[in-house]
Amino acid sequence: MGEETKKLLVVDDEEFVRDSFVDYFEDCLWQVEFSAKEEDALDILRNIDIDCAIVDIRMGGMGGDQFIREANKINNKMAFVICTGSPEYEMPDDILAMDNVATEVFSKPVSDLQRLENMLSELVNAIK
Amino acid sequence: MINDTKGVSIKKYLGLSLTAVVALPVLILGIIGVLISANTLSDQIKEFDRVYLHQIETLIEQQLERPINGVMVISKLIDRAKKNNLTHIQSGISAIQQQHSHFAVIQVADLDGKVIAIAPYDEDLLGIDVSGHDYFNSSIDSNKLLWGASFIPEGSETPHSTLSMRYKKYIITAFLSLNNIGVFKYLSGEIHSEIQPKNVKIFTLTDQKGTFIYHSNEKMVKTQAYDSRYFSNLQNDNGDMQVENVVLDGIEYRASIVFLPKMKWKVALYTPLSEFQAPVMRLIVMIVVIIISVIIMAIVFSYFISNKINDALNKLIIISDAIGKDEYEIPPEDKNPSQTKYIEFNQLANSFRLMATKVKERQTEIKRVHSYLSKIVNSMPSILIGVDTDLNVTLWNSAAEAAVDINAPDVYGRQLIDVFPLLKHEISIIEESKNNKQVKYVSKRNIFESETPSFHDITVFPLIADDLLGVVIRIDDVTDKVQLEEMMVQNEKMLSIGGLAAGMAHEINNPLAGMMQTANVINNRLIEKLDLPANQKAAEEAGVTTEAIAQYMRAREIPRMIQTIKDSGKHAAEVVLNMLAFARKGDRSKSTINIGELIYKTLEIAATDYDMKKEYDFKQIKVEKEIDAGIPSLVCEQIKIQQVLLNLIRNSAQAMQETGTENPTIYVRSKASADGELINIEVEDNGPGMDEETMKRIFEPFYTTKGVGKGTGLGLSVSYFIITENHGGEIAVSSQKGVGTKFLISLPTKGNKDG
Repeated sequence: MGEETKKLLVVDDEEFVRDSFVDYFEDCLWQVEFSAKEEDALDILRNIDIDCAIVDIRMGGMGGDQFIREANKINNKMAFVICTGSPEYEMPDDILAMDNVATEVFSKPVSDLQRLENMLSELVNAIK
Repeated sequence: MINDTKGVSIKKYLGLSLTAVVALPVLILGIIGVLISANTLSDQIKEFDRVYLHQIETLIEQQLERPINGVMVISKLIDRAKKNNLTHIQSGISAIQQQHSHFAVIQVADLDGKVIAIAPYDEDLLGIDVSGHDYFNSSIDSNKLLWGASFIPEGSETPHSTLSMRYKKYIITAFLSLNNIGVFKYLSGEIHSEIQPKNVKIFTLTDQKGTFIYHSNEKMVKTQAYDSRYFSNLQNDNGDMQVENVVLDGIEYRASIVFLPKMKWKVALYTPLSEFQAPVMRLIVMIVVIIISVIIMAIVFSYFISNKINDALNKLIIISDAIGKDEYEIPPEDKNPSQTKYIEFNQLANSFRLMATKVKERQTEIKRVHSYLSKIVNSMPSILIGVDTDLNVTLWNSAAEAAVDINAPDVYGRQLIDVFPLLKHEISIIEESKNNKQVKYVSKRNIFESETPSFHDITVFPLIADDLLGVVIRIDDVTDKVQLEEMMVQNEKMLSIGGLAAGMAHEINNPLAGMMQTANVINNRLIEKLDLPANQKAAEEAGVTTEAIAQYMRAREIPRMIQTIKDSGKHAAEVVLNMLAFARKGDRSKSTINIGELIYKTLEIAATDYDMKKEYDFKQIKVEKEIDAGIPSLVCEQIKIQQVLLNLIRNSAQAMQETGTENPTIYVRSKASADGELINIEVEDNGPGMDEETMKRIFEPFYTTKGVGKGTGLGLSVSYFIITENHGGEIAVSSQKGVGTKFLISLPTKGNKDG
């Protein structure tokens, strides 16, 4: 385990989805922070140096896209992977242009969490 | 020329009327002239007779003066003879008789009738008794000079008359030889011949007894007879001229008679009536000749006139006949055959020419409109059939000809049902439309009873015209429209599914994520990643080894169960995703791609996809690719087309796997159409194929042949939707049970126009 523990933030208002992410990544020895609300998640970012985040899009607050923009202002060294239950979703151009956002949007349900983990790891390594 | 025209020809009419107009006045004038001239002639002759007879009368009286004077001289002689000296008287009368030739004999008798003197002297006659003679007896009681009846003495041929008078005791009697009196010479002489040039008139002089003293025919004088025929109706004797008609020897005469009172003679002039009638007859003949010549002239004249008019008319008739035969080319005025010397005909000809021009224009216009209308009728894609009130065909357009393969001329007047039996079920509707004057519609009838369904709308409309009864039947092929409608309904169905799916997707996906991702974690904790520190720690605290857990899990088939959860979740997620395809109509990410590359890529994905599934081994399936190198690029939504191809390949693979097809092969071919407008893609297999019922329904949503849980039932309907709606292409299937299935996709290279 020479590797440094990566810090993940899960932002999803769906409790069971959020829990499954948290459980999976904790099992995989990630340090996982989570929040059901975008504002709360931003607070976490201000306090903790997070490496990456799994962001839901349709949430009660400002929404996933706006959260990414806000979060990027707080920490532009972290990676984002969008994971949404809306198959209709298309990434806005400004977010697509951001290097630290994965171009692939994961649709919920994510059948292969391993692939998600791999992508997050790659992104984090690439940024650092 | 039209020859069966009734009526009188102008020529005949003109001839007749002209003749009548000229001849009638002549006839009337002639009749009046005849009447007038007959009267005038009669008066003229009468006047001539009067003058002539009075002239004769005067002459006679003048001529008879001398014998009368002679007698008077004798009476003086007797006066001078002293004491009745007979010798004296005898010598006196002898002298007188010698001097006057007209005195044939002069005798003097005494009152006893004894002749006392006679000249020429004759001793034998002296002393004879003449008292028995009329002249003696009538004179003895009268002092007047008396004329006796005429007679022809013996030895003479000419008539004589006595002139006797009593003077004192003597009766003087002179025997006159009338021929020696000047008047008779006159009568037989010049004037007679003047008035009698033709010797047709009869002139008579008769004495008191009616005996002819003179007659144009001298023989009549010699008869010494009285002829009552000459004076059939003589009434008075007052000296005026009398006129009467008599018949002599079978000839009618007009008699003009003058009575001479002194001598009681009658002078008469007989003019044959033919003399009166002849001039009248001549006049009548002349008039008849004039009338006949006038008629002939009128006929000739009218013949010429009417010939000229006829010629002019005939020329006009030729023109109008030409117009009747649709020949409108009338030569210009200078060469115009209709040019005549009559202003009226020329005006008429000009009118004709104008009319011909107008008629031609109108005819041309009518023809143009007629041809235009019939072109419209015949160009119509609809079948158009017109029938009269007895349902006999009156209109039959090209579409109708094509529909039952009978040409228009063969159907006119025939019963609709005989020539178009396919309408047998619509007859009642046609009758209804005809009787109620209503437009009737019948929709989507399969009147041709063909195997492949064809649909026709039938419209029956009555003719709205007072003079034209009947109905028109219009039959429109609406098969395409009906199919389009069905497709629209299908699309509506799909779009509503899509709309529903779009709303549902998020709501379903989230719980699915909770289930599946949690199952993933469970799998990690119980099976896959037992060696995770957290797992080992938890096992240790529970007093079991991870090996024991693993053993238990395998024994109880927990991995299979977790996999079932994951597969079921994935299946559900696919359903949602597929349903969403219907929601997206427009294209959002069309790009220009090379279909060959897309096919290769798709086949790669298919291979890995199926490898992963492990339900069937894609490596056992042989894939034959025939991709045309020169295939043009295609504007499309790459992911969608890939989805369709993947779906088709997956279906083939599954079907062949399930049925255990020997040497399973998938053929993928692609090439452009000849005009380069379309790209055709074929996906064919040698699998189990399908029956017709399946083929018909294969593109319907939720129709599936796969077992429950293996297919969504949306795959091919989504493919259909993507190809037809999203890309404006076509997808079709052909299959034979036990032989194989072939899907044919054709896509426009330039993309869907409304996409």
